[in-house]
Amino acid sequence: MRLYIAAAALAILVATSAAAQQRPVFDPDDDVDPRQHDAPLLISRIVAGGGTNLMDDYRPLRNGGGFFELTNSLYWKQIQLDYKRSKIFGNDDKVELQRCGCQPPIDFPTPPSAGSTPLAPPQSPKDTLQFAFYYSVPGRATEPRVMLRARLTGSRQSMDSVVRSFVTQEVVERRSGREQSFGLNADTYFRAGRHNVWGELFFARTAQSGTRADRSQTEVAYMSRFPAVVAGPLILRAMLTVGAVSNRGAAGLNIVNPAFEAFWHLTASRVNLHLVWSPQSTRSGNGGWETHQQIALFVDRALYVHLFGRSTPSSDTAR
Amino acid sequence: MMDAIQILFILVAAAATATPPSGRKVVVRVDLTGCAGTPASVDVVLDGDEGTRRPLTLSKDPKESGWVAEWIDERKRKFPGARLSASVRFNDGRTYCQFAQPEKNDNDALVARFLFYCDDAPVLNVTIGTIPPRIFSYERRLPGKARPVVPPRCACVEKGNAVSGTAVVRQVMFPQENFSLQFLNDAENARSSDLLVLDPAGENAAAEGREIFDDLIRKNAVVVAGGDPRCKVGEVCLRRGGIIVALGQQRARARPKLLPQAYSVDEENLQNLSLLTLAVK
Repeated sequence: MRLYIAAAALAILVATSAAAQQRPVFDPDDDVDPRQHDAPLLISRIVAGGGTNLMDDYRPLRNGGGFFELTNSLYWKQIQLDYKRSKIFGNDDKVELQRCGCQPPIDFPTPPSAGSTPLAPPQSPKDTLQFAFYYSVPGRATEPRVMLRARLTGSRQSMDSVVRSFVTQEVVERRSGREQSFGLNADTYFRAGRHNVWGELFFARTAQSGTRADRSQTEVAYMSRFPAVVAGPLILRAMLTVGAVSNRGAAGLNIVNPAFEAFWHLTASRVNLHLVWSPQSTRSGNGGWETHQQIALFVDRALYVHLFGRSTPSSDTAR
Repeated sequence: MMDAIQILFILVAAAATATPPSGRKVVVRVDLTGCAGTPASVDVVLDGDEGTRRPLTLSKDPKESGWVAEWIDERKRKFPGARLSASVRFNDGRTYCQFAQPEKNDNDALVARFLFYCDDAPVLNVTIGTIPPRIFSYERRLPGKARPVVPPRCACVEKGNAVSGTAVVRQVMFPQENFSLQFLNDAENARSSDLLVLDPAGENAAAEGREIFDDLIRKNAVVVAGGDPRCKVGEVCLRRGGIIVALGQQRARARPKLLPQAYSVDEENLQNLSLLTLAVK
């Protein structure tokens, strides 16, 4: 137990000094029930695909585009550690501004006002560290205990800015900024009569520094996961996220995000195919409700799976 | 000097043999009520250890009626400090689970006394085979509080292993029991997620053949007629890919997450499995 607490404290320190963020639409679920492995387990996975109207932490990207993610996950007893590196292509990887010759100088394009939805940061590669802890709660009498997960996430990406003279196009200023985020999410489970109710609670704080218009936001959300349906070779599922995000001039509920996913595991190639439609509605003081129809098609495949040791697995069960 | 060493060895050996065994001897006594006649044979499954059923003998002692057996409690915490559950198996039936009441008999021996009600719920035998033979475990879960009954029942989890690649799991109460398989990998350091075998929503206890299996098992099974020559008439068979898909679909149905990592673990665990055969009698 002391070890767990020490590891949790270390993860918090790492996360607060590094970063964290809401999951991108192409980040697959990555739970592994600890009852499935007694010895440590390492899995490296690649995710690649493309999408339109993509959002980054409830902020719209300028363009759609391709994306990739490389994940490395270590599972040890009830602990999971992840390092993820992701990148969305087709968008600027740095902020390009033009400065007029006027007094005082003004950089264009001007950033959205405080009461508007901020722009997504430039899509430089994002590094994410995660620390998760699994714990179980009683389920139905005929079913194994329900395994839940709580996770801390820290992510960081650079936000470099280049300011050019409007007249000469010479670089007049360079800034090296960053965006950092720290978040916590936890599975929820309860029973309502004969039904299991699954969900997830999210909290995240995102802050920028070193840019000409630093923005920050705090978000709290709840995602309800509805029962999955098997249709042919596909697994279909629906989710609904509601929540609030700060610093956009609209207090209270300002996120409504249903999402639908079709999943197909291809046994011969060991590839998983995902098609996600996620219409994300956000509300700002100036813009009111805006909906972005995120659609993403992507594949994931394990690059490396290694089970360490030769000890006997737990006699509990996993589903 | 040699004599002294010999004496020392003798003392050490004597001390070692005098050390009490780590187990505690318990007399298991089972009283049955509501049975239609005296069963021909009675086995007891203690503490969920389905793999080691113990035959009970009918007591001939007029002071101690019922069925009895001796059992060594080798658990870390011993009975009666730790509760002891059991269920009873007959030729054509089984009971729900109960907790034992501690007693002392006339010889001052510790007795775990159970009172079981002979349930007439229909049961079936499930035959499981793997090609090539490989180790798997199975688990049976029976709820305890389906309805208020006397004597009170407890929920029970009973487990067994099949090291030779085949097992006949007897007296499965359908559809009350949740019956699942787990495949252990060659290195025995990991296991697949649960493969739910029987349909938990099944209502027809007299159902036969394929209908009794979980719908995702049936959906991913090899079609028997010409599907695979190793699959015999009356069997439901799944190839490795079908098992992995069924496991993933059952996971998603039980809990609406789509878990690529769990697929990868199952693929590792099932590397050497070619075919799973299931049959019900």
